[in-house]
Amino acid sequence: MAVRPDDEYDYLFKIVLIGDSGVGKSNLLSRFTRNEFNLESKSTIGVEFATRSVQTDGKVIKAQIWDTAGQERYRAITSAYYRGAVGALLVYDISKRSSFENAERWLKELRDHADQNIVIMLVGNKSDLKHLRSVSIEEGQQYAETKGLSFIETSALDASHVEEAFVRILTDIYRLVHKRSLTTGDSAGGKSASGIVYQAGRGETISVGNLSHESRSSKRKCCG
Amino acid sequence: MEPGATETTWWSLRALRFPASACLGYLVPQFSEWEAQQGGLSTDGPTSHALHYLFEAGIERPGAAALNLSGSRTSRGDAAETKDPASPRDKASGTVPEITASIGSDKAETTLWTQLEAIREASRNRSVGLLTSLAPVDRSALQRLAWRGLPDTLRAMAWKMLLDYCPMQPSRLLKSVGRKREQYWQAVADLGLVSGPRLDGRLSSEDWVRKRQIDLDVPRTAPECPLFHTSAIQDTMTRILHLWSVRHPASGYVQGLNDILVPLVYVFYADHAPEQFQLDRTLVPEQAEPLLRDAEADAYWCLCALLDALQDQYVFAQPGIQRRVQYLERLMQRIDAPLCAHLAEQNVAFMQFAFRWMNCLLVREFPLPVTLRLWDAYLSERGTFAAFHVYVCAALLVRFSAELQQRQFPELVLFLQNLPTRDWTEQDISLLLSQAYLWKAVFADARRL
Ligand SMILES: Nc1nc2c(ncn2[C@@H]2O[C@H](COP(=O)(O)OP(=O)(O)OP(=O)(O)O)[C@@H](O)[C@H]2O)c(=O)[nH]1
Ligand SMILES: [Mg+2]
Repeated sequence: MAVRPDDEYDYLFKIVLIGDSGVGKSNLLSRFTRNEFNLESKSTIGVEFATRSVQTDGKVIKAQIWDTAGQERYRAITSAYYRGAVGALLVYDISKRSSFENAERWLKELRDHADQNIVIMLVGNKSDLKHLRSVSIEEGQQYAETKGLSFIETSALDASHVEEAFVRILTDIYRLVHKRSLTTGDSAGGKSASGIVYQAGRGETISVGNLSHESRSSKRKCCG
Repeated sequence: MEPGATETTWWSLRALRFPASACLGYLVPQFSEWEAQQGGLSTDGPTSHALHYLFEAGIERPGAAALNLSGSRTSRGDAAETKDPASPRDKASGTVPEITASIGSDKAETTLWTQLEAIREASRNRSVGLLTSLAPVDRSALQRLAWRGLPDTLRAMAWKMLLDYCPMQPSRLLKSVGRKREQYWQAVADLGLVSGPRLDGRLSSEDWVRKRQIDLDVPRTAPECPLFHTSAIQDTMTRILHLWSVRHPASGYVQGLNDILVPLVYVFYADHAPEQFQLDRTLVPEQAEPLLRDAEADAYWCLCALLDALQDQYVFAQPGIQRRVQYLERLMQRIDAPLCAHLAEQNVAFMQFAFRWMNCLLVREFPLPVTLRLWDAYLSERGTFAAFHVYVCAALLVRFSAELQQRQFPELVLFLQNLPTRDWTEQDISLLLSQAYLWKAVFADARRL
């Protein structure tokens, strides 16, 4: 089957969006994938999915993004989608302190259900609500540092830093894949990061890769 | 067997009071054989073709002479025991309109309409005398009418009766409903919700968490209908959802219940003040608000009744949804194996798309007027509708089977998340219902589904 140009990519990364209900996960996603924002977007029931490709280092990275429902009741359903994700955007609302305080709980969710190598970025959304801010940039930054996460503030409403947030986490993952593939030998056990899929020139998906076993040449063969 | 002959045989078998499932069991293989001889006319498989044909040939034809709507003795007593869709049974005979040779349907239908109309008028004018003089409504006749779609003007009254909120006996109506309305407003006052959605200090911290979620979701409800952005409606929604969640602590408020409340609020509001409640209205005039107190209480009690059978969908880990999604999957294996194979090959789990279908009873998938038509049928199947809903979901998948099978992974999921149903009409829903109905008749007997 012929492959359309927008279907060609070098890497495919699975990313999840998590965080309290109402912090703006769905709007971050629609801003990034369709450049849309909606003040009255419906709440997410279960999970929703979207995709977009970006370029970095001359490589096309396709992001498969799973947007999850924020309400506690859905945790059992949504946590199933953490498996195989190589990146997570943990979103809070800078005008809702409780959503920031809940970051701890979300990290625990990831520890319990996601791959241990998952790359996590803390995202303080709604940065446009300056007059309502209840979590300072410094506070967010500091917390991210102590937990070893990267950090960014965004606004899905005015679009600031949304693109940057996604591109940065994708690039981080990309770099990590490279570094590991250069430094680890074949025998290294390493945690599987099955969310990474490499695609051959013909466009068929070849492998659900094991992060620590990947090398550039493995792009064309199955190595799981 | 040719289609024409199939139709005749169908009616003969039904006239002999064979259950619908048995008739189909006999007819479908025959029809398939005929179809095979014709070189396979149907693209969606002989079975579904035959079922579709049979249904269109008979039951769904408006005013079909063969339907006897006037007081046949269709037994409905067995309806309540069919909660689990997987339980082996033959309920088909309970819901198929009994077939007789009489040509009385239009007349019976008109009589029922007139009767409901009279009850509605009398109860609006609170005319006790008139209500006492009116005959009780025949439940099974009402169910059959609702199954085929209710007229807008009678929908509110019919829904309230089907949900056992309004008694079938008009003489008892005012008293019974009046008491319920009082209870509702008392409960709301006790919670401190009475002056709009603002709260005083009477809520526990758990209540606050719920309240916060409700406050987040109400403004995000039915964004395509300006009416639902008015403060009158939003306050109503907030009060109802909050009281419901306090009264049902095992589940509490779960996102999506706001969607389920939309049809109820809309139908009851529109019934009380049709001029004010066009969906594109952006303002509810103050003088309409007292009328709406009744509508609000009605919506609350009907929500309770509706969710009665669905509690297990909203408690911890949502077992009801898990079970129904699994059932849908098993059903689809039988109905449309190629589609199932395609979904599996593309790594698309049923849970991914069907979760919302169950959680929100498809309200999110259709425009509101179309949902109302769907719910007419659901409420006519009260008690078993949760099971029936799974068959409707199956019919929905089959309807888009060809499109789905043409799509690969990302597009496939995007398609399922956003089905092209924006322009659907009641006609589309009728077809969906027919299909679902027949599958239910066929597969209800299948023990090992
Ligand atoms: N001011 C402002 N509002 C935002 C921003 N992002 C989202 N919102 C609003 O916040 C509300 C919730 O946004 P959603 O994207 O639906 O939130 P969510 O995190 O997906 O919520 P759940 O699906 O319930 O988990 C909506 O009314 C959005 O319009 C933002 O950057 N700035
Ligand atoms: Mg969302």
